[in-house]
Amino acid sequence: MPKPGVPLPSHGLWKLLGKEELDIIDAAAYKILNDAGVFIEDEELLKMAEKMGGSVDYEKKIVKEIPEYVVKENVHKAPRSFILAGRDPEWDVVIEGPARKQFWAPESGATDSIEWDEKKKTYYRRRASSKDTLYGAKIVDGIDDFDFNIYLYDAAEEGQRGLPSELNKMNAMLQGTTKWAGHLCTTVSKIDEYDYVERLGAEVAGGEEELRKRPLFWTVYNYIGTLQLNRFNSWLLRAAIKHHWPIMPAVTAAAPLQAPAMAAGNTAISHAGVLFMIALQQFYNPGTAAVANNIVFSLSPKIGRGGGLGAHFLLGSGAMNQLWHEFYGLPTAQYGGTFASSLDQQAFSLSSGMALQMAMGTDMIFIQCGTEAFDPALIPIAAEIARAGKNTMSTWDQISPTPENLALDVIKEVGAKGEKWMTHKYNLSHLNKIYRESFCLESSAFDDWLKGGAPSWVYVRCREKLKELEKHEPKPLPNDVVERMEAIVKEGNEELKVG
Amino acid sequence: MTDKEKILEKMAKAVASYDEDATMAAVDEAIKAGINPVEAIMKGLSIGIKDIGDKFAKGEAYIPELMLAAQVMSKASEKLQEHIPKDKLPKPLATMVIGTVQGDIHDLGVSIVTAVFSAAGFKMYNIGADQPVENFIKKAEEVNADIIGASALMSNTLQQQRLLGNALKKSGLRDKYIYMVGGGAFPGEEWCNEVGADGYATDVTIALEKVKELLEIK
Repeated sequence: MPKPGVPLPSHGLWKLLGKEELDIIDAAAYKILNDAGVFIEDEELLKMAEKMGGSVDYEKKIVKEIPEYVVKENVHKAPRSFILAGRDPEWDVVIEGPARKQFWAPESGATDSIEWDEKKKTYYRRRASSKDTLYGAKIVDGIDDFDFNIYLYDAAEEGQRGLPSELNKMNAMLQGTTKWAGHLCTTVSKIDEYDYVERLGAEVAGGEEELRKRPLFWTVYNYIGTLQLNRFNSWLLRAAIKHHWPIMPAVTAAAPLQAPAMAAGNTAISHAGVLFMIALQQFYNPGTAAVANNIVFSLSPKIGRGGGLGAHFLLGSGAMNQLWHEFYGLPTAQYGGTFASSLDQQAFSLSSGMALQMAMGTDMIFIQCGTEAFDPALIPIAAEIARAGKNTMSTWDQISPTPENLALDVIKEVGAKGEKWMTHKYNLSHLNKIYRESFCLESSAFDDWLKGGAPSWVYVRCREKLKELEKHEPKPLPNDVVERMEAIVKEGNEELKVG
Repeated sequence: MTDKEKILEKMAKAVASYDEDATMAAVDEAIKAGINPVEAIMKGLSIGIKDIGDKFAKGEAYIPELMLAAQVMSKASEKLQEHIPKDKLPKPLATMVIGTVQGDIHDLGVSIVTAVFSAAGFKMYNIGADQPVENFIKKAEEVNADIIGASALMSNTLQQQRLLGNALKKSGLRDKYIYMVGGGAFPGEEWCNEVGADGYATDVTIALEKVKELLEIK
C-alpha cells in the first residue's frame, strides 16, 4: 500500500461557484482560444497545433479558431487514474480520479542558497548548484509528511557555466530520493537535453518502456505573458510527447500587468491555456497523464512581484479546481506560495494560502517557498504546514452529523455533568481526531519557553530540527546504475555546453 | 500665479495623472503662449513625472500608472522638442539601452525598469526581449548611450550576460558604457565580476540607486 496522500472527504470541500457560473467560464475559455488564440514561438509545435485543428498564422506565430469539440475530445482522452512513480513503489503517488487523495510537498527552484552563520549572526548567500539540489532532495526524502519530492534548488551554477542544468538537476533528484521526483522544467539551451534526461530516467526505471509505465517525473510548463508558449516551453512539450512524459501545464498570466485584473477573466485565460496544452498533448499522446495546474496568477502592481496570496489568486484557483474536477474529471496541482523574504513572513503566508488550497481539494499541493534564495530552515516549516493540512483533511469527516459523530447515546449516558467523558471509550477511540503531534512546534509551557530564552520557532527550533533531518540518507541506487547515470551527465555536459 | 505658471502646473498635473489628452492640450497651450519649450519640459512635464515617480518610490502609485505617465511624458516631450534647436535640447540624466538577453522572453522586468528610470529622468531605449548581444551594442552606439542593461530570468541565459561583457571588451567599447546586469536569475556580486559588469541589481529600486552611484563615479 503506497504511503503518500491523505484521503479527502467525500463532501464539504470549498466550492466557490455553481454549475452555471462554471459553464460561463468554461465557454469563455473556448472563446479565448477561438478569438485570441495562443502564441507559439516554435515552428515545429505550431505545425503540430495546426494538425490538431485551428488556424495558424505563421508570421505572427499564433494558432486560433481551435474548434471546441477538438479540444474537448482530446482533453477527454487524458487518464483519470494513473501513477506518478517513486523509485520505491511504496512512495508511488496513486491518482484515482480527482480529489480522492491530497498530496503535499515543498517546492522552490531557488537559484541561490542562503545559509545562516550562527557565529557571525548573518546570512551567507551563494549560487545554488546540483549539490544543493541533492541536499534538499535527501532531506525531503526522509520526511514522511511529504508525499513526493520536487527540487528545492535549481542547478543554477551549472546553468550559469553553460552546462545543461535540467540534466544535472534531474540527476541529483533521481539519486537523492526514493519518492516521485517531481518537475522537469524549461531551463534548457537545446531541445536535445531532454533526450539525455530520458536516458537518465530509463536507467533508474529499468528501461524506457518501464519509465513510460512508471514515470519518475513529469514536465512543467509556464506560459509567459498572457498566452505565449516560448520556444523553451514548446521544446519541453515536444519532448514530453516524444518520450510520453506526463505534463502539468500552468498559465502565469500575471494580473494586472499581463492579464485582466478581475479573477473571472484571468481564470478563463488560465483555463484556456491549460485546455490547449492538454488537448495538444493528448492529440499526439493519448492516455499519458496530465494534471491541470490551477494557478491564476497575480502580481503586486506596486512592486511587480508576488506580494502574497491575494483574493484574485485564491478565487481563481478555486474556480480552476472546480472546472477541472467537475467538468473534465482531472486532478489539479498548485504551487501557490509566498514571495516574502523573512522566514516568519513566509511561514505566515504559506499557512494561510495552503489552508485554502487544502479546503478547496487541490490534489497536489506544492508548498512553494524561498523562491529567490532558499533557506533550508524552510523545510521543517513546510513539514509543519503539510502535517497540519493532512491532519485536518484526514479528520474532516468528524463534522458530518452521522450517528457515530453525533454520539447522542453517549451524551445521554454521560449526562449533563460530564464526569466520564475523559475516560469514556468513545472519546478514547477518537483521540486522534482532536490531537495532532506537531512536527517541530514549540510545545513547552510559557514559563519554560521564557526561561529558555524565548526561542523563535522559525529561526531557532526549525534550524535545530534541520540538523536532525540532515542525517537522513535515502536508499541508494545500485552502483552500476549510478555509474551509468554519471556517464550520461558527463556526456551531456560535454555535448550540450554553451558559451 | 502667472498664466505661464498656470500652464506649467497644468502640464505637471496632467503628466502625473497620466492624462494624455490633458497633457497634449497643455503642451499646445504652452506652445501657443510662447513658453520656452525647454522650460516647458523642465518645469512642466518633468515636475509631473517626478511627482509620480516619488509617489511610486513611497509605495503610493502603481507600476501601470508610472508606465502610462512615462508614455505620456515621452509623447509630450517629442512634441515640444520639435520646437527646440538640436543643440538646446534638455539633457537627460543619462541614456540607457536595456533589454532581455537572447533565449529569454521575459520582458516584464525591463518594462518596469524602463518606466521607473524614465520617471527618474533617464532617456530609456527598451529593445525588448530575446535580444542577441550585437543588438545591445548596436543600439547603444546608435543612441550614444551611457548605460547598457541586460536582464536574464533563466539561469541558463545568464551566459548571454557574459557574452555581452566579452563583446564589449573585444570591440574596445567596455569603458565607454556602464554595464548593468539584472533580472530574475538573480546575478550576484560574484557573477557581476565574472562577466565584467559594473553593477547588478535584482530590483528596480536597487538598480536606480546603483546606476546613480555609478554615474557619479564616472
